[in-house]
Amino acid sequence: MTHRNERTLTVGALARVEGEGALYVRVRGPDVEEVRLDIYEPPRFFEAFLRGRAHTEPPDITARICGICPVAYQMSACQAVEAACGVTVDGALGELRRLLYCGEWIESHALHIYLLHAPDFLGYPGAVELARDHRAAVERGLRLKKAGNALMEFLGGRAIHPVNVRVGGFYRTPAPAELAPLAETLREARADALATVEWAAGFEFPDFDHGHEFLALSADRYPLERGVVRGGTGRVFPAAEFERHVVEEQVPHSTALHARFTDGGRYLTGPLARYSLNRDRLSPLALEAADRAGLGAECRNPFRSILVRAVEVVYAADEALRLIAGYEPPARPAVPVPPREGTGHGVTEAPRGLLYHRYDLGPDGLIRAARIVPPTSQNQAAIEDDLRRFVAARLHLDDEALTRRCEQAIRNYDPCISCSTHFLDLTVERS
Amino acid sequence: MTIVIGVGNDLRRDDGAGPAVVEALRGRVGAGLAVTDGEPARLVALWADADLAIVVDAVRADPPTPGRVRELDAETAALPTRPVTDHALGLGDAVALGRAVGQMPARLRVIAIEGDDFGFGEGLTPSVAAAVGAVADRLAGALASPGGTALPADDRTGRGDG
Repeated sequence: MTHRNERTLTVGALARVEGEGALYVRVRGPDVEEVRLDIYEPPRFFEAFLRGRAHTEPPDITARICGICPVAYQMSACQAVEAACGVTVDGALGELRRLLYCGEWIESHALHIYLLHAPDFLGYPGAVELARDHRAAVERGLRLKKAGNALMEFLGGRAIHPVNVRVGGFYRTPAPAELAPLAETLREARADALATVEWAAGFEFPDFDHGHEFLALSADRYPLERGVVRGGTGRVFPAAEFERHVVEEQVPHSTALHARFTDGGRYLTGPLARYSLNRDRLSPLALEAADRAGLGAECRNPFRSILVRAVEVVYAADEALRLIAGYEPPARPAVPVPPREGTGHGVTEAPRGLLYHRYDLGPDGLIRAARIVPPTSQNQAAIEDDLRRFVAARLHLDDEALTRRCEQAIRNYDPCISCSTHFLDLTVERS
Repeated sequence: MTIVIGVGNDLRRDDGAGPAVVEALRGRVGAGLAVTDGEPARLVALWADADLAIVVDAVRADPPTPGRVRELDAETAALPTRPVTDHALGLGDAVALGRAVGQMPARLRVIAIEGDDFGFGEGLTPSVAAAVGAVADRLAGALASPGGTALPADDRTGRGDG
């Protein structure tokens, strides 16, 4: 279609778990003039109605932001509130939190890999069609997801919007014997995860690199529930300094905010960033899987994020087993967190990237202000930039093929839009 | 094994009809009870081993008749493949996925309750709340005996007013 002077690809409203969005691409001759990915962000509502709530409420309220990654919201919220109150939750309670988070990673990544992303690579319109031809693979994906679910249900009380998490710890903590059946499930999941890496390593990946700085947590272990924020160019800062390094700004085309560094740079958060900045923190088994899959010291091709997710599932299953093996029941299910006036910050690694929370508490313990910066908002500018360059190199494709490729490219980032695999309805306008 | 699965979000008004039916059944039936968000893999995992799975979900109709109850036979009904509210995929996708991987219950019944308000917040439209009570009573009657899986004959297929 290169003979056309101007092409406009407009993608209509998207029905999603976390909001609504659209994709708009305008091409004139050989130039991609504009790419806009609009995502509407319900977290803005949450910031408003958290005001005036008790300091104990954010874990339950913010868990409702997302049905796919509620634990991330609970963990960032707890960390931020506890920081405001001057309390540190560590030891066995900290390890249980990490264990719960492993469940979410397994569940979310398995969903994304098998039901949302793999069909793109294997040429199927969706998971159902994929399952008809690759039944064993999809069964493996469902088993994996179920294992993540089981862990979430066990520790969280239920798989969606867990109810057992509270500021200071948990409402109930398990006895070691209760964890034995889970360990069996997780051993099977670990084997399924290894098979997933091998399976995904056989996919064909378009040649494409992004040019953004990575941003991920960094700690003595592969980053999940805690750590300092680290950038790819050497910047390192604690959660409390997040807003000194990252600003969100309104863009005219979207009700969503775009995040960038205060010094102007775009950045990318999520599996590629985590892996590239923390590869040496993977468990030996996960590292070996990464090597076998051909993932090098860093991974800058967003299409390979499916491989990195698969490696992270191996890690999460492996880490969960390690945590279960070393589990010593805590003395009490939660430590007291008496409120005090102050501000607290929390950053954890949601499956799709950094999730920042800040709470300002009054002397009465009520929330005066809340700020939530989800990974999708942080990645949005990078996604748009990647799409711009991606489209520019593929203008020879017809509109249908180009749209399909754009859908796949958006799914690389697993934006918090738990969408169907047909999520872009394309309209082409020509002039 | 019989399981009743309520699909929906109780913070999206009438989308909470399915979960409300399940809550109303607690302690009244010998069947398994579950609430979920409609995500196909979760649904498939919940119903895979069941002899009878009864899925209760809210639907949107145009023009709406809030509170009207439709009973669908999963074998013959055209189930939605797009969500009525915020479910990632439709129930039809879950059935198709379950079939593709051989993880379907022996029998699957779908009870659809027409909603009106799918906005943010708690609470059901009065006519939907009434339908929830009626559906729960009917299921409680049908499932009361341990292992009882019989539903009234006139509910087996097609539509009926609740």
